[in-house]
Amino acid sequence: MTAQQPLVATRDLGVHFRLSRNTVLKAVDRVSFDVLPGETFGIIGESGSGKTTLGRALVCLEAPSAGQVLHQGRDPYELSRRQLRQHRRNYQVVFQDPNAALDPRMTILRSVREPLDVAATMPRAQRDEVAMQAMERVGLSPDFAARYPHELSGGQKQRVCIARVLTLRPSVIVCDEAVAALDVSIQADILNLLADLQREFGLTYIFITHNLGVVGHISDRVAVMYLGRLVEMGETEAVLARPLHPYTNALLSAEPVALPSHMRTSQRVILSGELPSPVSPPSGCRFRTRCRFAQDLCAAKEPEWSEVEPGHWAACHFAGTLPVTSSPVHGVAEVVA
Amino acid sequence: MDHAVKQPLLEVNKLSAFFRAGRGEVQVTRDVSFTMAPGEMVGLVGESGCGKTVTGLALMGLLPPASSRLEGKILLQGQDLIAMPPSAKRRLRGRRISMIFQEPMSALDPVFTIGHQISETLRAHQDVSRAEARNRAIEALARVGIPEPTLRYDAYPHQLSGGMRQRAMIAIALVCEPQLLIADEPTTALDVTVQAQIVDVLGELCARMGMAMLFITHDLGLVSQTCSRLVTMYAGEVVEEGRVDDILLRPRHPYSSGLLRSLPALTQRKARLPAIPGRVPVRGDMPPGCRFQPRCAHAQLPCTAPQPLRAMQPQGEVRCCRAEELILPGVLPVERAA
Amino acid sequence: MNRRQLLLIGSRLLQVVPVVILATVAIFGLLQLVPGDPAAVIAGEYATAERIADIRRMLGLDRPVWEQYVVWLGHAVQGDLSASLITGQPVLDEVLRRLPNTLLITVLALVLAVLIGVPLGILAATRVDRPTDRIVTTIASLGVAVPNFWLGMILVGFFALGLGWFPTTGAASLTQDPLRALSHAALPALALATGGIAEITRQLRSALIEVLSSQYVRTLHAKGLSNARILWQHGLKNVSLTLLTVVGLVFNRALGATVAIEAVFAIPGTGSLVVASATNKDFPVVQGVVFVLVLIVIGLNLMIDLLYSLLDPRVNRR
Repeated sequence: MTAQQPLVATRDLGVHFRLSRNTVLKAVDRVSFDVLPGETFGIIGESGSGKTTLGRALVCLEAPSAGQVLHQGRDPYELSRRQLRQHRRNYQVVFQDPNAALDPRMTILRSVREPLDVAATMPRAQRDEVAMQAMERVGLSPDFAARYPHELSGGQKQRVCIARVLTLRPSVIVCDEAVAALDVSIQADILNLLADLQREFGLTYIFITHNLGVVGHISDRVAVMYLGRLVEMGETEAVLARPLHPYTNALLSAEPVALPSHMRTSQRVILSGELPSPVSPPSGCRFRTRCRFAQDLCAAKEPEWSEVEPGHWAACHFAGTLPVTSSPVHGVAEVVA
Repeated sequence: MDHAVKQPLLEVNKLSAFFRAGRGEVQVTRDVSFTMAPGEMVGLVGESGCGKTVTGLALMGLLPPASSRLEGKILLQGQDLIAMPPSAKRRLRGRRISMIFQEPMSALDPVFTIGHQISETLRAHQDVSRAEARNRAIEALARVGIPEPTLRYDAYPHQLSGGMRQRAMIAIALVCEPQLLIADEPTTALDVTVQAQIVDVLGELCARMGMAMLFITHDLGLVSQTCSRLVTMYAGEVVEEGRVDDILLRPRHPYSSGLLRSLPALTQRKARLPAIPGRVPVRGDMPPGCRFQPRCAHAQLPCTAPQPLRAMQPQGEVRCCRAEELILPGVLPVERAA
Repeated sequence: MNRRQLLLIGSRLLQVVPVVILATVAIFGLLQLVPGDPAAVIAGEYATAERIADIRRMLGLDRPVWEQYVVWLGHAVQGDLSASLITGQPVLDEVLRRLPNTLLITVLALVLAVLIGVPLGILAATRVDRPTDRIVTTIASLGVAVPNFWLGMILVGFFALGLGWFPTTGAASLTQDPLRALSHAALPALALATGGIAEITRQLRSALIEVLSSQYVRTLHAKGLSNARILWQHGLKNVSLTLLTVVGLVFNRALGATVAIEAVFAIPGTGSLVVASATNKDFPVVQGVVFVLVLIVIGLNLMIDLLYSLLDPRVNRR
C-alpha cells in the first residue's frame, strides 16, 4: 500500500489561531498522515480535538500555519489563485447540519446546481441535467426538484447536500459529522448511500466523527485526535481490537453498545477529569492529566509519533506495553459474525 | 411480571397529548401506557418526533396549559397528576419527580450561581435555613462529583464545562431526593467520554437513593447500559415494552427490530446496513391502522386495522398483531439469538 | 468593587476622551455651516464692514477654525467655557443656572417612564396574546408615534388651561420651593415620558417573553418554583440588562427632546438656551451647553456599564 501515491497527505500540519496578543490556539498541531485513493479514512475526536479544523485544512478551507497539506503529492497553495479555485472542486465537504448548508429560499434543483453555476463551465441546460442526474443518484425523485428545503426531512436534506457535492465529480469528500444529526434508521440509509457512491465513483472519503459505531463501520483506517494531535492511527480492525493509546482505549470503552448484559465483555474505562484547555495543553504527553498509566516521564517528555506495529502508529511512551482492552464495538463485531 | 408485584411508583394509563394548532388540535401522543416500579430504570426510546419528550414533559406537568391538553391518567403512587390542581402539582415537582434536560447550558439560569440554583430548590420545598440549604447544596455538588464543591457553589453556569454543568443540573434535580427522575437525553450534547462519566454518576446515585429513572433517549446503547426495562415509541404511540435484555435479543415489534438492526456497530464492517425504508409519518396525517405498517416488511391485511397494545407471554407488551408468529432479529441474527 | 470593575472604569474613562473630542469637533464644525456671522449680529444692523471686522478680530473669529477649536477646548477642559458673545457672561454660570430646570423634568420623566412602563411591560408579557396584552401593546405603539411637543400642548390645554391643576408655563427652584417646582415640572415631564413609557413597555415585554419561554425557566418550573418567584426573581434579573439599556436610551432621548418641550412650556432650561443662542449665533453658548450635556450622557452610560457588570456575571468574563 505504500507504493500508491497518497491522494491527500499532511506533513507536520499545523493550523493555529491567534486568540489575543499572547495566546495562540494550536487547533491542529504537527499532524502527519496519508490518505490513499479509494479508501475511507476516519478521524475520531471529541469536541476541542481540532478534528473539524483539520478537515477544513484538508480541503483548503483553512490555510496551514505550519507544515503542508499535499494533494496528490503537490502543495495546492503553490497553484495560482485561479488554478486553486478549480483544483478545490475536486475536494468537497459535507457538513453536519444540512439546514445550515441549504438556502431556504432556493429550490432543491437550484441548490444542487449551484456549484455548477459557480463553476460556470457548462451551458445551463447541461447543468440542469447533471444536477438532475446527481439527485437521481442519491435517491431523490425528480419531483423534489421544484421543492424547498423546509418540505424535506433531515435525511432527504442530507441527500440534497450529497447530490450537490457530487455534481462537481470530486475525488475526495470530507464528511464532517455528516450523519450525526440524523436518527439511526436514517443514518443507516445515508451510510449505505455513501458506500454505494464510493463503489460507483471510486470516491475517497475522509470521515470526521465522534461516533465510533459509524467510523468503525465504514472506515478502512482511522486516526484518533486529542487536543490537536494525532494519538493513534492504523487499520480500523487493529485500532478497535488492540488500541495502543490509553486515550483510544478510554474512548472505545466509553461508547455505549447495545448488547444484553450477559454479553457485554469489556470493562469500561471512565476517564477522570476534564479536557484541558487547548490553548495551554499539558507538557509532555497531552493526555497525561487524564491517563491512568501516567508516569513522571509523560510530563517530562513528549512521546514520539512512531509506528509501533506495521501500519499502526501511536504517540505514547508505553505503547504496546499497557494492559489496554479491545473496544466493545469490536467485541460485538466478533459476537455477531 | 416481577415489577407488578410491588405497588407501581408510576402508572401511565392511556396518556394522550394534544397541541393546539390554529383553530384545531393535533394529537401528539396516543394512548401511552407503561408502569415503573420504585427504583426501576426504564428507557423510553424512539426517534425524533416520536413523542418521547412530550411524554416526559407531560409527566412533569410542564406542557404549556394554554396550548396543550392531556387525556388519560398519570398515577404517582395512586395519585392522579392530571386531575391534581396546579399548585399541588407544583409542590411535587423537584421534590418527588425531577427532570433533567439535554442542553446543560441553556437549562441553567445564566445570572444566578449554581449554588443558588440548588439551594432555592431546597428552600422551595423544605423549611430549611439559608445556611443549611447552602450546606446541603454543597453536599449535593460533591455527590455528583464536582471537585471543590465549596468553591463551585459560587460559580456561574458559564464558568463550568458542559459536563460540569450537567452535573450541576443533576445536583439541582436530586437535592430533594425525588422518587422519580426523568432524564431527557441528558448526555446527547456531551462527548462520549463525558457521557460515560455522567451516565456513571446517574446510575450510582439512583442506586444509592433508591430512585427510579425514566431515561429518554434515542441511543439504544445507552439504554442497554443503564436500564432494565425498555419502552419503545413510534409516531406518538408505545409499540413495545419489555425487559431490555429480552428486546435486544428478540424484539417483537418490527420497528424495534429495525432500530436495532440499523446500528452500525452491530453489523459487520463495510456490510450494508439494514435501514428502515420510508419516513416517519407526520403529526395529523397518520396512516390508519398500524402506524408502522407503510414501512413494515411484514405488513399484511390485518395491519390496516388499528392495533392495540397487547400483553405478551411471559412478559412485555407489543402493538403488533403478528407478534406471536414473527421471529425478528435483534442485535444478533435470528439463528444466533435462539 | 473588584479589580476587574476598577479596570473597566479605567478603560471606560479613557474612552471618554475621544468621544468628547469627536462630539465637540462635530458641534464646532456644524456651527461653522450655520449661515450668518456672529460678529455681524453683535455689531447690529447698520454697522460698517470695518466695525464687523474689528469685532471678528476681537473675538478671534478671524483665526483658522482648527485654531479656534484648540483654544476653546484648552479652556473648556480647565472648566472655562468662555463667555457669551451677546451678554458677555461666562457660559458655565449660565449653563449651571439653567441645568437644574432641565435635569428636573428629564429625571422626572425617566422616573415616570420606569414607574409606568415596567409594570405595563410585565403585565403584557405575563398575559401574552390575551386582551390585556393587546390593549397594552396598542397603547405602547401609539405612545411611540405621538410627537412629545404636540402632546405637551394637549396636556397644557387640558390639565393647565382647562382644569387648572397645573401651571401652564415656567419653572421654580427645587431647593427653594419643591412643591411648586414639581407642579411646574409635572406636565413637561409627562410629555417627555410618553415615548419612554412606550419604549420601556415594548422592550421589557419582548425581553420578558423571551426569558419566560427559555429553557432555564422550564428548569425552574421543573424545580417546583412558584410562578411569582420565577417572574420576580429570575425573570426580572434576566431582563434587567435590557431594562438598563432602554433606560439609558430613554434618558438620552428625553434630554434631547427638552429643546422642544422647554419651548412649549417656556421653561428656562438648557434646551431653550440652546435654541435662543443658536438663533442669535451665540456660538460659545451653544458649544458650552452641548459640551456639558455630552459629559452628562457619557457619565450616565458609564454608570450603566458598571451596573451591567454587577447584574450579569458574564459581562466580567474578559
